[in-house]
Amino acid sequence: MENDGSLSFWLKVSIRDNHCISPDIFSVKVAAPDVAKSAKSGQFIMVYLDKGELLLPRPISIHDINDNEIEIIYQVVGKGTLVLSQMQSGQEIKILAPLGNGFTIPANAKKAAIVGGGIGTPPLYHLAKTLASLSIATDVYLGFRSAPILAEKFRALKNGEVHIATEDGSHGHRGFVTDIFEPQNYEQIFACGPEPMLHAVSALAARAAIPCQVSMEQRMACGIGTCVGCVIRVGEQYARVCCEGPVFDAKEVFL
Amino acid sequence: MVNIAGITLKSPIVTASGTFGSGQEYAKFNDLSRLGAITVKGVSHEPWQGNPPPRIAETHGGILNAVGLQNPGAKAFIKNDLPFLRTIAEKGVKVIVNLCGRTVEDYVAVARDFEGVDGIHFFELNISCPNVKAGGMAMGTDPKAAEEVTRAVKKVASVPLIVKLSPNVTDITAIAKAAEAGGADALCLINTLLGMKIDIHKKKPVLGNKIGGLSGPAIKPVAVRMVYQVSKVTSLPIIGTGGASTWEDAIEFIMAGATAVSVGTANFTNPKATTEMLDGIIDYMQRENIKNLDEIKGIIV
Repeated sequence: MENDGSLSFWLKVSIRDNHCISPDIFSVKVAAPDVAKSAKSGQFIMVYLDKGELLLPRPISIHDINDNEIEIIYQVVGKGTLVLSQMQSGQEIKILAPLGNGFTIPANAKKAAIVGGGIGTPPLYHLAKTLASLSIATDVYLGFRSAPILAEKFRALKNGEVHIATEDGSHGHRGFVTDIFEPQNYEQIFACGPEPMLHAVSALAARAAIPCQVSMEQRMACGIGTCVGCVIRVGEQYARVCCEGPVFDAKEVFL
Repeated sequence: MVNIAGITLKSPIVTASGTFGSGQEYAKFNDLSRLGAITVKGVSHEPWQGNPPPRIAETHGGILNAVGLQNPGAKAFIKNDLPFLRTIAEKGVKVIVNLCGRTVEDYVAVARDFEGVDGIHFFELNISCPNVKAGGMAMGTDPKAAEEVTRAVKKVASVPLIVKLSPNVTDITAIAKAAEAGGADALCLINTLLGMKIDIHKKKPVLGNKIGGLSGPAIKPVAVRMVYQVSKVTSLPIIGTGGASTWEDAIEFIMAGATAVSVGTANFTNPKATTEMLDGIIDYMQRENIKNLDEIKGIIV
């Protein structure tokens, strides 16, 4: 379903916790009861930095939703995320949330797979939690360059196996996550990660004729569909990641 | 209240084309009925697909975009977007339809698409978009072409015609005079400045189109300068635009010679920018005992 932001909130929220979980990767929790109530797996928020020359809000996926707060996990990749990483508990930031369509969980599914790569892993956690609550057995496949993140958190859901691949072989399989992922055992695949990984997962899913949803990213300005800046090619046309996405049918994006 | 080509705008704050959709998306952040006018995203006769992504890049105090005027065409706009705009128009907000094309015939065709269509108050002739290869900015950088396309559209226009000028010229006053000679009822300036950003790690331009249009606070001094220069050579009302994000910016544009101020990129930085700027202007007028913005319009000699 398309989301034009009409169900989203523009809020000043208080940072509850902002800490480093791995080199350059931070988790931040913000108090936002209305957002927590309405947000679903796979949606994202816009974080406004209020920082002079950095004009644009940063789109960041929702990692987890609890009672009155939402948690986002982001990697410091530039000036904006650096500013965000230096913010302290108690400081206020403005957000626009929730945004985007989120994942669609098929009715009556019994077994699903989640495939994550690098910083594409955090947006899949709330989905994994939701699938567990729906008793949909879910195996999780995560790939990283080196040290994994969040693997224990996924394991703690006890809703299926968690497989790890690292490019340097420091944890789990040495190589890519797509080396160890076999799609034919599942009824639905969900994936988020770098584009080459999503492409490979989409190809595997298509070969096994298993439906696959991919969460995409793009440079974004408004977050609510007006600027038509954040498009990606979907089938024969351009689609806005902020409204028609960020979750798309893998076939339409990659094949 | 300000007046543009005989039409009263209830406030001097206008939204800039391509940054406010057709208004609906921003209705939950702002009381749209307080705006002077809403300029809708560029509309062409046929649907346009736009440029390949990435289309957005942030720079120091600015944003580069290379959207390329992706739009579903006039027919779809009239069917899907205009009904909401009419509800805003009923509250006294004026609707400015931004027209785009690649040839004079394209511009005439899209203006004709609105013949007999109610709920619109102005056309804004976009001869200044840097992201369209043929037409677009090419027509806005040559005085003869600018005059010709203005005249052709004016002939078929059912509403007053605003011409939006490009800053990517040696002498913007020459284009302004050409638009006036062609029959423009008002001018809007400036559109974006051509710019580029290179990702030094990937050794590639950030934008899919390589080059894009720079907007935001970074370009405001250029915009204020051009509004000032143009206001000295034409009697047409001017909608000043280019990086205006605060009420102080709006006053600056008005002092430079603008009748109204159009807000673009600031909507992305702060979804409430338009109405917050309006609040600031009202406070300022009260503090300074200004009854009418004409008292400070173009006071810089």
